[in-house]
Amino acid sequence: MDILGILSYVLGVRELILIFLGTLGGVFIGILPGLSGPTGVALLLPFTFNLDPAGGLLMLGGIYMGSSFGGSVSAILLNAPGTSYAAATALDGFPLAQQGRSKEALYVSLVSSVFGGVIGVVTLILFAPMLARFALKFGPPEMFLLAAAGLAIIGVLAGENMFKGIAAGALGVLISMVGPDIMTGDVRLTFGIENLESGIPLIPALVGLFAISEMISQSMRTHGMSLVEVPMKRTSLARVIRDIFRKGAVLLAKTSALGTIIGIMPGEGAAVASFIAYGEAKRSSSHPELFGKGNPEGIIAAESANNASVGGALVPLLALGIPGSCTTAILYGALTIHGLIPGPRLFMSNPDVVYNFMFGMLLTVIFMGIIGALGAEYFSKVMKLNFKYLVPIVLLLCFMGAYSIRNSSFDILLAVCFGILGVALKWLNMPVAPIVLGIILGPIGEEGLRQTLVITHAREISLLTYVIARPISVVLFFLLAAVIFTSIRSFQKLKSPQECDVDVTTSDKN
Amino acid sequence: MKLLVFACVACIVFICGLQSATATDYPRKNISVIVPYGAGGGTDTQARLFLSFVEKTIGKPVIIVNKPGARGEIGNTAIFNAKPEGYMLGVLAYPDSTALEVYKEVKYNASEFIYIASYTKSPVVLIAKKDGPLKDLEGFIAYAKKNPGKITVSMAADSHTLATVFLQNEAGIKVTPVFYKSGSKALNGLLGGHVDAAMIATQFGVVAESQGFPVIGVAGDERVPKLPNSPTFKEKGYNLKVMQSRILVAPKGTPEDVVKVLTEACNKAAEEKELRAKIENLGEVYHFLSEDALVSYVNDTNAQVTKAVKENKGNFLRKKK
Repeated sequence: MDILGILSYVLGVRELILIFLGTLGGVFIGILPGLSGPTGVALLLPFTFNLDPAGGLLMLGGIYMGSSFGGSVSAILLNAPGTSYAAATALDGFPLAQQGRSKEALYVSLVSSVFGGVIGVVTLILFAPMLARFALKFGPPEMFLLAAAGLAIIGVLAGENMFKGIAAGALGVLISMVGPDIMTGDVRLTFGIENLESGIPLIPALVGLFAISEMISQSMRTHGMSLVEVPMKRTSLARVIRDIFRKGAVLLAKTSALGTIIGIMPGEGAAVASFIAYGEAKRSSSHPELFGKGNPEGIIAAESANNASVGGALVPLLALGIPGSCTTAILYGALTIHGLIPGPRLFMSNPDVVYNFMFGMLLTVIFMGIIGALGAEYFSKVMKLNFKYLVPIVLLLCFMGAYSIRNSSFDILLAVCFGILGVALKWLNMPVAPIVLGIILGPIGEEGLRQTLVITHAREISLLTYVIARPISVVLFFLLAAVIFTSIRSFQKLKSPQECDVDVTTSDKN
Repeated sequence: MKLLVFACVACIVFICGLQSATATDYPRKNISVIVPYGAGGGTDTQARLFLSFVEKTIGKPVIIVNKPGARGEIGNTAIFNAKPEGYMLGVLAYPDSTALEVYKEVKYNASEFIYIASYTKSPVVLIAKKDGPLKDLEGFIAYAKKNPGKITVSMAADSHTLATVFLQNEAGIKVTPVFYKSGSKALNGLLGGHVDAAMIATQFGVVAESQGFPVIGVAGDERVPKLPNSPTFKEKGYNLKVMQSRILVAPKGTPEDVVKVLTEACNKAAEEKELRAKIENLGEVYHFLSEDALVSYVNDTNAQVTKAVKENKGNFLRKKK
C-alpha cells in the first residue's frame, strides 16, 4: 500500500472535483423522493466510460454515499424519505422536526452518517478480503433466517402497537408476493391487471406510503400554514456533536458496526441495516417508549447504519466481484467496462485502482459532511414554507421519482394508491414502516426458503440435517429466537403498567 | 385576407407533413433504446457500451430506457409496440426473447422485429468446483449418471435453462436446477458452496476461474479466448450449443431508409477497435453480425430454440416434475 501514491492521486484537483460532484449529486438525488442510489448511479454510468477507472468509480461511489445521507433530509423535514434507507430515520426524525428541532435532527443525521460512513469505509480498507469470504457463506438458508430475523425486529419497532405492526409487516410481505413467482415465474395475485405482472416495485410503494400520504394528510389539516407551527429551535453543529459523543457514543459505535456487517451480507443492505439498527437501539435503550416521538437516538441508529452499509456493501464487490445490492451491481458494470474484473485478482493486478477507490470513498464521506453542514440551515427552512407551495412541489417530485424506476406511468398510479392506503392506515393508527420492511424482506425470505427446499430435496437430506451443519444458520436461528423473545418481553413490560393502575384503583376502592 | 391566412396555414401544414414524410434526414432527434432488464446487468452494460459507440457514428444522442420485469417480457413487449419511426428501438437478449414466447403467452412476436446488429455471441458455460468429482466434464457426467437429480446447478436466464436441458438430453443425465434472480447471484451460490455447479454466462466464467472454480464446459463452436483451458461440449462429444447475443432491433414497420441509416451506423461503430476491446473486457466474446448474416443466424437459431423449448416446456415453466 503506497500511501503517498494514493494520497497524491486522491488529492489531485481533478479527482477532488469528481468526488465532490458525485457526492453533491448523490445528496440531492437522495433528497428527491423516489430517486436513490441505483437510479443516480445508472444515470451517470455513461459519463464514467471516458474517465479513468478509479475516477469514474469514485464519482459513482460519491453518489452512493451522498444519497445515503440525502434521503434523511426529506425524511426528517417532510416525513417523505427520499430513499428506502431513510424510512427508519423518518420515524424519529419527523417528530423531532415537528417540535421545531429540525436543524438538530439534520445535524444528528449528518454526524451519524459521517461517523457510520467512516467506519464502513475503514473496515473496507482494512478487512476487505477477509470479510468477503464471510459474505460468500451466506446461502439460501441463511438468507431466509436473516429475512425472518429482520421481520421479527418489527415486533420491537412497533412497541405497544405490536400486533398492528406485525399485521403491517405481513401486509408488506403479501404485497411483495404480487407478481412473478421467484422460482417458476408464474404470475400471482395480479387479478388480471397486466401492469402488475412484474410485481409491485418498492419505490412507488415507499413514496406513496410515506411521502404522498403525508402530503395528503397535511393538506387535510384545518389549521396551520406550514409543517411546523412552533418556533424553530436554534442549535449549532458543535453542540450536536458534543451531545452525541457524550450520550450516544456507544450506540453510535454499535450501530455503525451493525450497519457495516449487514452491508457486507448480500441483499438489500442499507434499508435493512437501518431498520435493524433502529430496532436494536430501541431494544437496548433505557427508555424505549420515547422512540417514535422524537428521540435523536433513533436517528443516530438509522443513519449511522445505512451509511456504514455503503462501505460494507463494497466489500463483497471489490474482494469477490459479487455485487450485493442494486447500486453495487451497477458499480460492477462500471468496473468491467474498464476491463477490471473485481475479485481477489484485482487486488493483485490493479491494487492502485482498488486502494485509490477505497481511500477516495473516505473523501466522499468528508464532502458529504461539508455539504450537509452547510446545507442544513437552508434545508430546514423548508419546514416554514407555506403548504400551498410545498405540497404540489413535493407531489410532483414524488410522481417523477415513482416514474423514474421503470419509466412506467403505471407506477405513478401505484404510488397514489399507496398514498391513499397510507392515509387510511394512519387513521387506523397502524404503523407504516413495517410495510416497507415486509416488501423488502418478503422476496429475500421466500427465495431463500424455496431454494433451500430444492437443494435439500436434490441431496435427499432432511431440512434439519442440512441446517444444523451450517454454523451461520445456527447462529442466526438463535438470534431470531432471541429477537422474538425480547419483543414479547418488552411488549409485556409495556402492557403491565396499565394493569397495575387498574389494580391500584380497585384496591383503593376497597 | 382569410384566403391568405388559410394559404399560410395550409403551407405550414404541408411543410410539416413533408418533414415527417422524408425519413432521409433521420435521425432528427434523440433516439431511445429500451433495455428489457435492470441497470447494471449483462444486457444493460453491453447495450450501454456499444450504443455509446453507435451514438458517435449516428450523430444524435442515444438514451437507454430500462424497462425490466417478467424475464424480459415487459421490455420486449414495449419494443414491439413502439412507434415504428426509428426513435424508439430496443436491445433483445437473444435467444431468451424467442424462448419466452414459446413457453409463455406473450404479447409480442419475436420474428416480427427488425434485427439490425449484434456485437457478441457468448456461449453459456458450465462451472464447477475444482476439487471433487465434478472437476471436469467427464467426472460431472459420470457422477450425474450414478446419482440422478443429486447435482444442484444454479442458473438464472432462459438460455441457461436451455443449455441445461440440452446437456441433460445429450448426455442422458438429470440434474436439479436452482433458480436465482441473476447470473451474479447464481455464481455466488456456487462460490459459497451452496450449489454444486453453475450454468451461466461466459463473463462469469472468467470471474469464477480467477477464484479457482474451473469452467468445465463451453456451449459454443470453439473455445473462448479468455478461457483457453476450457473445452467445448462439442469437443467432448456432446453436441450442444447455446450462445447469447444482445441484438439491437427496431419494431416492425420501421421504414427501410431508417433501418439503413441505423445499420450503417452500427457497421461503422464495429470498425472501432476500441469497441471490440471494451466488449472483450466485459468478458464477452466479440462477434459482429448485421444485415443478412444476422437475419439468417436468427432464423436458423429460432427454429432450433423453438423446437427445444416446446419439447421441454416443463423445465422453462419450472414446474416440479
